[in-house]
Amino acid sequence: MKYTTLKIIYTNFWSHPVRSLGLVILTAIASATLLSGVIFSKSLDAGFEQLSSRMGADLLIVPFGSEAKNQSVLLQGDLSHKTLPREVLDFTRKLPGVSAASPQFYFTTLSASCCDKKVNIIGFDPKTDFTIKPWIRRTYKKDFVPGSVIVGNDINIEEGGFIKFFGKEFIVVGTLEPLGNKLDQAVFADVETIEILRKSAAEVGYNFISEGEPSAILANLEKDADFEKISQTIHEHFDNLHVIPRKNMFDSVIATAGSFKIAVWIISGFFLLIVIAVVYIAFSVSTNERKREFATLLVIGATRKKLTNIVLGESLIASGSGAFAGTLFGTVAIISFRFLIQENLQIPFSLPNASTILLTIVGALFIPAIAGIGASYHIARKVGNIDVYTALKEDA
Amino acid sequence: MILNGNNITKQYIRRGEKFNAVNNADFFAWSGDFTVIFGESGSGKSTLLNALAGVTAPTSGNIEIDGQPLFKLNDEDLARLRNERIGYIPQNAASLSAFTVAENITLTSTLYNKKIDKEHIKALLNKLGIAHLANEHPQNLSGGELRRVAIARALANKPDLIIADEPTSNLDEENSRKVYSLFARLARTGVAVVIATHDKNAFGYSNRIYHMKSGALVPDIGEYGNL
Repeated sequence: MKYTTLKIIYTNFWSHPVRSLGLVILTAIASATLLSGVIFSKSLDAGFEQLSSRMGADLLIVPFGSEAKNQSVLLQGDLSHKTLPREVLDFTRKLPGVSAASPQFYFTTLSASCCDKKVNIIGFDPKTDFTIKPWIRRTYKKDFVPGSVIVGNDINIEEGGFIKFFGKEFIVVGTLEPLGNKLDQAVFADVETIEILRKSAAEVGYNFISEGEPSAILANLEKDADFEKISQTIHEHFDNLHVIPRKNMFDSVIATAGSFKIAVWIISGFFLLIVIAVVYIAFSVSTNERKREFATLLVIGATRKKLTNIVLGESLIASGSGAFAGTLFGTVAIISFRFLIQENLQIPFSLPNASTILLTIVGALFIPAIAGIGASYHIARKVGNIDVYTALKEDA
Repeated sequence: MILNGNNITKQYIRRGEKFNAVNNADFFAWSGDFTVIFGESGSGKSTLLNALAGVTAPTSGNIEIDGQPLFKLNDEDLARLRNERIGYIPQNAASLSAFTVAENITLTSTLYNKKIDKEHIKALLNKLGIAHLANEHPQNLSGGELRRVAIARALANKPDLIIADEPTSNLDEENSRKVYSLFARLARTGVAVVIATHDKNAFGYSNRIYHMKSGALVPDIGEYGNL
């Protein structure tokens, strides 16, 4: 595009600063909404994907009254400190239709050297575990040694460093991949380490950890096993516990997340429509005011295509700069506030991978920009087909 | 340079009915001609000039410059021809408000990234009495000053055909005389000048007069005594 055309575009853009900046801001909002909407959606998907790949149990047995808490430990790492009788584990393992059962131990301590806030400790049995171990194996391949722990991604202690609980130091042997929930701030240990920790707590006067009593039992069922029958059998033998099937574990959270996603898409679509409408109206008004200028340009030798390009160029500046600003703002905002979002939403939230983010950024840059240019295209074509005689006669 | 138009008709629709703003007009002008098209307001002069200037295609008929049919050219070639060979001053020509007077006048050159003939522009501004306004913006100018800016812009590229629609509207007698004299001098250098006006003072500078009435163009045969 020639210098004069660019100058015409630039000067026209700034000749109505309020209108122009209004268009920029509106497109920026559309871009930011679109970007954050898509990343938000993808983050929920990624959070659930990581969670479900980790949470490969068909049923969960928890103490009665701590169902919600124990569901949320899976989702958010909020721990319940109620425990199950030890016999439940052995009983469940022996039930026909149960292929595997493994205990988990949850407790929380404020007495840690790493963190300002409470630290959740999750214990598991490496010999029988089938939910936590596969996830840990992604980053830590060695055997579990008593006295060692693996920390969540948000705990800033490097491998080989120490974390102190109840006056006893535990060596950190690995850091897990981020999950996007409070489990990123948890410490994972095998049953032998949990026993060391229990003894250390007892030595300094904390006896809140019951020896060998699991907080939850996760079980896998054989193919064609009858969940209802298994659940009924467990309930017949033990009081004060609850058996939750896998399909129910995330129901409420998935429903909440789904509603959030729908709302986000509606808002994004709404802003895109507003951009299209406002750009159309603004350019319609602006080109109408400048009909005589366009006619004069045509008279002195501008091609009709150039007139069209001038309008599209102005639209590109408004939509393009708005989309750029919105995308930048949206990216910074969602990265900066992701912890706040996951804390407040109480649902798994994990940023998608870099290529998805990059693709979303490109989409947020181009979709509102193209919508803006598309909205002005009809006006630009009208300007390109201007009738000089009529245009010069009007408003003269 | 030969400007030749045959059977030019331009049809518009007004209140749902077709009417011919220009009806079967034949027109020609050679290099060095100073042609005046005389007629009342609404007689079709502006429509005819728009067609002759290659801005509005006629509904039927043919317009040629040196044998080249204007409206058979593509958008780009026709635009370049308007830029390089035709200096058209429409009746209500506007100036680009974001540009200064000097920038508006040199637009004809900058539009195609051509070198600006500064001496020529300076001389034009002086002849038209607007040299002191070079750095002003159009919105600060009077109607007469704007008219002279439009004239200067049309002449900036040294066209070999000047078409002017009421070039002296908004001008006082002295400035009108300056404009006519300038056109007459250009005609003497071989430029074809065509103006539409109802100002009879133009006749004294012309060597050809057309009379236009209700869309019909007829060569003047003596009412004003030029032919």
